Amino acid sequence: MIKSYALGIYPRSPKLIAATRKNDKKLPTMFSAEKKKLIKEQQKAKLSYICDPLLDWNDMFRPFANVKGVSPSALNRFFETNTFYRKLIVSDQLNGYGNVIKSNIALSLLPKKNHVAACMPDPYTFADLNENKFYKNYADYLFAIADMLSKEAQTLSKTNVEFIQLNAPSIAYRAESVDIALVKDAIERVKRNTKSKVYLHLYFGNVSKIFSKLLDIKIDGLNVDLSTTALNSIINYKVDNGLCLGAIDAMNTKMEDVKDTARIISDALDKMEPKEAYISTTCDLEFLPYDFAVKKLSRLGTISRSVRYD
Amino acid sequence: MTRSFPTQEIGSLKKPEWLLELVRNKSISDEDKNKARNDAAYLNIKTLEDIGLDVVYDGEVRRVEMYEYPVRYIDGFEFAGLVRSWDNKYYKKARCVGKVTYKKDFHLDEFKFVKQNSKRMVKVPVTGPYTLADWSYNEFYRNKEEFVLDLARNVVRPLIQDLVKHGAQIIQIDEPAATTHPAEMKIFADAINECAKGIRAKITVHACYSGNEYQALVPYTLEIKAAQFALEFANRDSWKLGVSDNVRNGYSVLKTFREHGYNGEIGLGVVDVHVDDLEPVELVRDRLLYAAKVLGDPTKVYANPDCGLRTRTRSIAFEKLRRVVKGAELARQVLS
Repeated sequence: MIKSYALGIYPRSPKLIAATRKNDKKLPTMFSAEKKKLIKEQQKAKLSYICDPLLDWNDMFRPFANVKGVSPSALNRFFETNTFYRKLIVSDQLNGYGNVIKSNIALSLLPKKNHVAACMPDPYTFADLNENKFYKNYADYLFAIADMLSKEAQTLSKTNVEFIQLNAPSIAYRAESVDIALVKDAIERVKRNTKSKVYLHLYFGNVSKIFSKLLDIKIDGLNVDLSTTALNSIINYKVDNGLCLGAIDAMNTKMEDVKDTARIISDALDKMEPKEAYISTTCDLEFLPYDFAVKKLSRLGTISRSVRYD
Repeated sequence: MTRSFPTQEIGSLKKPEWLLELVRNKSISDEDKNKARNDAAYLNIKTLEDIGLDVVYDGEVRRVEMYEYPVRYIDGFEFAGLVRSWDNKYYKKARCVGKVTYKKDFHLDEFKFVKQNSKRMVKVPVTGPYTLADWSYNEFYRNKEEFVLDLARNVVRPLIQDLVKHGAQIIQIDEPAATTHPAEMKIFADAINECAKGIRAKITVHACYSGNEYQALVPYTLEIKAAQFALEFANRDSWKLGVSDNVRNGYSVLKTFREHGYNGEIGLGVVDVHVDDLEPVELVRDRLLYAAKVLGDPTKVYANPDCGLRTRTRSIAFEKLRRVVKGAELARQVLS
């Protein structure tokens, strides 16, 4: 058995979608009720970390739209998906309050007996997908974001969020052109002064060519989306820190075979020997319809219990 | 067309409220609903003709939406549920669970109606195989290429064949997903060519909002057997008048088309379909003149909106189309 989690934005149920279309007065109550249901599904699947399913997040950046100096702008395609996010414009110095993520997740709904996890964008992805109209150079822009996110991580850490995942699709998508040295500094700034575990989630691109450099980043672990980075291309690396294998495809309704997936993961972990091991979904579950997302959660739990790794 | 800057629409228009209310009303018979759809189609056709467009259709008034509607008529698909497009907007996404086959000639009746009721050239919009595959989950095919090509051979080509057999002369293959995955452009090109194989009609391709400003498409423009690429540009362009490169920044990729040796037609998006602001006719004129300057032949520059106008109110949509027509007239005057 290994640990498991499924972070990110979850899909809304058809009932909730219908309510958002009508701008139903009961929406806040409905969001809470639907969140509770999905938290229960995570518990039923016996995931190691439980999270807010973020049903009220429109995209991963939107909670930051109210930060001073930041404003939302046009819709942009989110990588190669058919989903769009609203690009933020940074037009003043970023002085994040350190309270953005905390105030946008329903910590009170998360049972105290469970370990709690949360996610937020990594500084490079934040810088890459939004627009700088204030900082004179890219490094200043990137590090200002990193400092803002560091405050967020510190606040989460103080509120018993034990595990923080930095969503880093841009690093994976632009693996061939990303300035890893710069990005390493930025990510390490986020981790600094944070007691929580910090993992970097690399999805939507093949990171095999930069995997060795990513392993040098001083954080607690990496999460690799196996639908875009072939396991065989990284299997020969020894991993000193933690490793999470994104083995449950959140971009396809096809269900993973329990035995095959568990065997493949077990064999890979035996070779890679990470200090701690997890499995997760490849990315946010919001790319699946509700019923399929729930099935995938259950499958994630089953597979995690079928993997053997000491 | 031999005249400069022919005008056309791209596809969808917002459905009239009265039609939506009527179609949702369970107490009204299917026969009466169809009569209402005919009325709405007729209204759209005549309005587009009155506006002065050279090439028209019915505003896709009978179709729920460009993905869900065709998928209903393709064996091998099952609807999985709703998936977010953005914010509170969702679309019904299907899973492919078996070999895809063409169940029914799902655009034929609407085409026959338009043909019978229009005095202008008619262009039938058809959702392309690449987009149908890209917007679906694939649980059946070994890879995306097999999935896309089967959709092209078994669904879209037979559909086009049926339309052409009944008199369709222009088919617009809608492929909004076309350049979403730059690494898959070869699959896209092969799929369009599979659709066009043996078809005796003008094939045009419409793509939009799929990133990288068509840089990924350009290398395939000579290989793809399409007479026209109808693309969006206006939403990226400035609103300043003029035909210089720096003012017409939204159209800069046209130079890449020319440098690559593409000399087919371009359907030039000259009005933005995502804003209510109405483009001045002089701006439409300058956008067309710029394209003609870059591409050389104004008879190969078609004036159209960036995309279908279904997200705008009907009055805004029709006014935008009027400006497309008037802008094209002004551009012709300049050249004459």
